[in-house]
Amino acid sequence: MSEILPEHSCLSPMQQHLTQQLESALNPTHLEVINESHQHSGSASESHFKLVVVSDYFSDLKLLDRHRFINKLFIEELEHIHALAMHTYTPDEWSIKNGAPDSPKCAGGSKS
Amino acid sequence: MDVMDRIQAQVDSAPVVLYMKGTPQFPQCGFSATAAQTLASTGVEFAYVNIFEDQEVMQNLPAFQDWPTFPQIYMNSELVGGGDIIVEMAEMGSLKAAMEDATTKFNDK
Repeated sequence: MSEILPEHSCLSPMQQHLTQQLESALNPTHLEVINESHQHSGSASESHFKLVVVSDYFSDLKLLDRHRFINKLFIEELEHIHALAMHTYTPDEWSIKNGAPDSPKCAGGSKS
Repeated sequence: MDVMDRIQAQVDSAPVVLYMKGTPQFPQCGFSATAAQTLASTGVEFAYVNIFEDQEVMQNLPAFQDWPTFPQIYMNSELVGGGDIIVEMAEMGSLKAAMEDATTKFNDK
């Protein structure tokens, strides 16, 4: 198992759900599920999330396919989430980079 | 023309095509703004489609290449990915070369 986020109870329901799904699908060595909804317009408290996922599973996948895998995993959730920013790395890539860029501010607009 | 044929014609019409909310000058979503700025930062020309101006394209684009979100970036008629992928490519230093390569191939057609 991965060594991340021991306090699942501190997470919002969607954060907890995304975390559990990613843990079981990708067995990540590092995982961040960040609720960025407060940075955005509108009243929804679970509308914008950023994922940082580090997993061996990505070793044979190009970026497009890594994102596509996660999009498929959350096909139903994406009906409700306005934005899901993704940063996906192999453990080697992560050790070189060690950080994910900030997501941009959303100016509103309609759901994608 | 069927909407999928119309989208195909759009992605075929230029070496680099960005589907975004709003325009590069007046983006209507932060993720679209970042994608447009990142592409523009290379200095390589790109085309864009404002999906708010074409509801049919907006509704059908996710099914076109099985990609659920906007923005979407195509090079040489192939989906490269969404905004995060473009930013990642820019950070890795491969974005400008990929856009230039797409432009060369497009002009050779």
